[in-house]
Amino acid sequence: LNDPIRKETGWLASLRGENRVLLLCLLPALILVIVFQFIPSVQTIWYSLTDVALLGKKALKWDFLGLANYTRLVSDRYFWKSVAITMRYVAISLVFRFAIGLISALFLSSKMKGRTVISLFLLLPMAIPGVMHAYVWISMLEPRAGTINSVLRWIGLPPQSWTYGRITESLIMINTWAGYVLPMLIMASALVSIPKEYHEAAEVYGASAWMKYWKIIFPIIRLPLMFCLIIIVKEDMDDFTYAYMYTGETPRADYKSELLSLYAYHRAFNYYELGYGCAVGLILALTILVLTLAQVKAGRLAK
Amino acid sequence: MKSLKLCTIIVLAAVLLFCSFIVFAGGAQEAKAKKTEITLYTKAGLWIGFIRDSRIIEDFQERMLKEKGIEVVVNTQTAPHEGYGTKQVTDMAAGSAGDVLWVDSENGAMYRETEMLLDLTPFVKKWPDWKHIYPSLQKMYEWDGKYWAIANDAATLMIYHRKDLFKKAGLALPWQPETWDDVIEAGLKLKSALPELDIIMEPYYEHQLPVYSDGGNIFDAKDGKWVKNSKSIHYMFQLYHDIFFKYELTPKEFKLEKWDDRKMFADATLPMMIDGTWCYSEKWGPNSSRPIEDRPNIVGYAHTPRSKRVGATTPHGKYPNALRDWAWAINAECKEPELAFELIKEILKPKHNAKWGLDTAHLIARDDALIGDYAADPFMKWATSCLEYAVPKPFSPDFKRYNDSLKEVLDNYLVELGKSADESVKRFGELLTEKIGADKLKDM
Repeated sequence: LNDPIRKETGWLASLRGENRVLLLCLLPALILVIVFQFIPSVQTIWYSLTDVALLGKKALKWDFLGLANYTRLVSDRYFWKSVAITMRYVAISLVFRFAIGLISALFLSSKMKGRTVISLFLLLPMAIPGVMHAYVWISMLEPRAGTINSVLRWIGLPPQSWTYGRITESLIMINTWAGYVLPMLIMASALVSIPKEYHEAAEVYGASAWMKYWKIIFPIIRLPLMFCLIIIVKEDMDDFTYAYMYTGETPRADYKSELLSLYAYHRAFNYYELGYGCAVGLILALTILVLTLAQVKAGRLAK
Repeated sequence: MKSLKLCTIIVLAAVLLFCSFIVFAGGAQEAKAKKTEITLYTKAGLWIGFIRDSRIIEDFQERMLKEKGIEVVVNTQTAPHEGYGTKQVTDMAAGSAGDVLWVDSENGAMYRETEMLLDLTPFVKKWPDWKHIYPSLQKMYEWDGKYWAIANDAATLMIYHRKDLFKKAGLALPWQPETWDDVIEAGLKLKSALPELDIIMEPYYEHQLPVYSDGGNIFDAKDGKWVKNSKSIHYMFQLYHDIFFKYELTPKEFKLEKWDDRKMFADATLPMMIDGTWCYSEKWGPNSSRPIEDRPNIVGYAHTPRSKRVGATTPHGKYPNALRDWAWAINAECKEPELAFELIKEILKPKHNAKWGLDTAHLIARDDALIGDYAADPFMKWATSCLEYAVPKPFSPDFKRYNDSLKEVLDNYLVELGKSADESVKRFGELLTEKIGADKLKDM
């Protein structure tokens, strides 16, 4: 092992030439990934196996618990409430973001008049900084004098408690509004990349519009569609910003805005249970990983 | 010509000598003065603005140079008012918080338990001005006979009321309810006279206040146990239940949807609310975001009252109150604790304490700061008298757990689900047992 010639012919030798340049180019990114992703991830896993706290006696002297935090999750009713809310949020957001994104993409890729002007409006949610979204919606959702309840009253419908009783629906609304743009852009770029010959051939054979979309266009863009589904689920599963902005530092009474990421945050930073918060966070991360793998697999099968 | 040359030489020599003296003296001064740094951690905006505008840091630096021959660089570290507690907790846990810390009693108690704060007892014992800090405020940051922070100011609660709406409802002014029944009676009159109002009162700020009104307490300092059930705790839940459901003075959506009560009060759509002293200037004063014109004739204020329960006595005085607010503590990691304490002394000088109090409607922390415009201001003078009746929060990490449980039962259980006082007391006990532990609880 100490033979210098052997060292030269070992892994060091492979660093020469192209590989060496590649490794050098990779190095900055690698350092960032290790420092800001790998080490914190390992730390999170480790903390989740302990009862370490952010403050208090358990911050000074904590114990290794093994899987106790995970078994605690099974009987934690707030965790299950949070899981239920997150699933609902993700499922409904997925439907709306995908549907609105697809319809907008079809419109953008069409040849309708006024397309350019309307596309500017369609892109507006992306142009507004993310942190502003919740503020934009505050005046819309305000229960007494907000825009939505004013409209509801005007058309003779009862006003709704958008900031409490219907807070989950409000979060879905904000998320849909802010989040349809990305799938719209992905699907629009896929739609415009379909060769015009396909459309011409369909017209020559007298295909109806429905047949054209169902039999030609969708099969061609199914991979971007699958990609959109993956992106939406991944984004929404660990959503935090809007829920946090409408909830604050302590969970709401009914937990209707307590998405899993927010629950992990509250456990760690409001109840100071860092170990338990990490366990919740890790469950969330694993769920996203499994879902992503499943969807990628489905994408491959579709291909 | 010769004399001109001579003059030039003399002038040049004088200039040279003068310059040498300056350089030498400066160098000597530099060599003599020890240099060090401390960091002040407080809230952004109003808080750090006051420190800067009052030239506190400059005065402190000059004093340290003069008294101790130390050149102190004071760095400031701030976090926004919204989410300040969480930001500070994170900084403390990460070891990146400054030396002199602006803390509230809840987080302060957690820091103490985590051994993150310096015991200030040896410092206050040597400080002649310590006797001027109000005893209730000294007690607010005391645990096991040691002092962990020094109050910068105080805030008590009061029942703010709109005089214009009271007049419309035919209620007599000035108004000072003696019991909570008087408050409810006034609320019912307002409700029948002003049916256009969606809400009559904001019933709580410090949730445990009615416990004090009933002569009870939440913590027994004798045995260090928290009270999970007592006649006073039952009284508190019953009072809130009555306000929300029996008399319908407050719709439950008000709390659950977090209506902006201070704005509603300013807009004359909320006639009565319990809130802290600071609202008077910070929220409705001339330079605030929701100024109320002709404030003295519009905004009324009354002491929080007693209960009317037979047998209830109030050991804390005629108008029991809850004491809260912020203090200065020193990070246990501070390398210059003496200097850090000197900075706190500078901030707490009576003139600064009085000015901060007047500007923000916070009460002074020391009795010798009752001076100048603060002492002349009728509201501040009246509000300062509330200190006499105010009960400080126990400086224990369990207070936060106790308070969180109380909030949870009130919001989730009593207000949202309309549960009775008996059911709420039972649920409160269960939550406390879960969060604090049965061995630290008792019934009274």
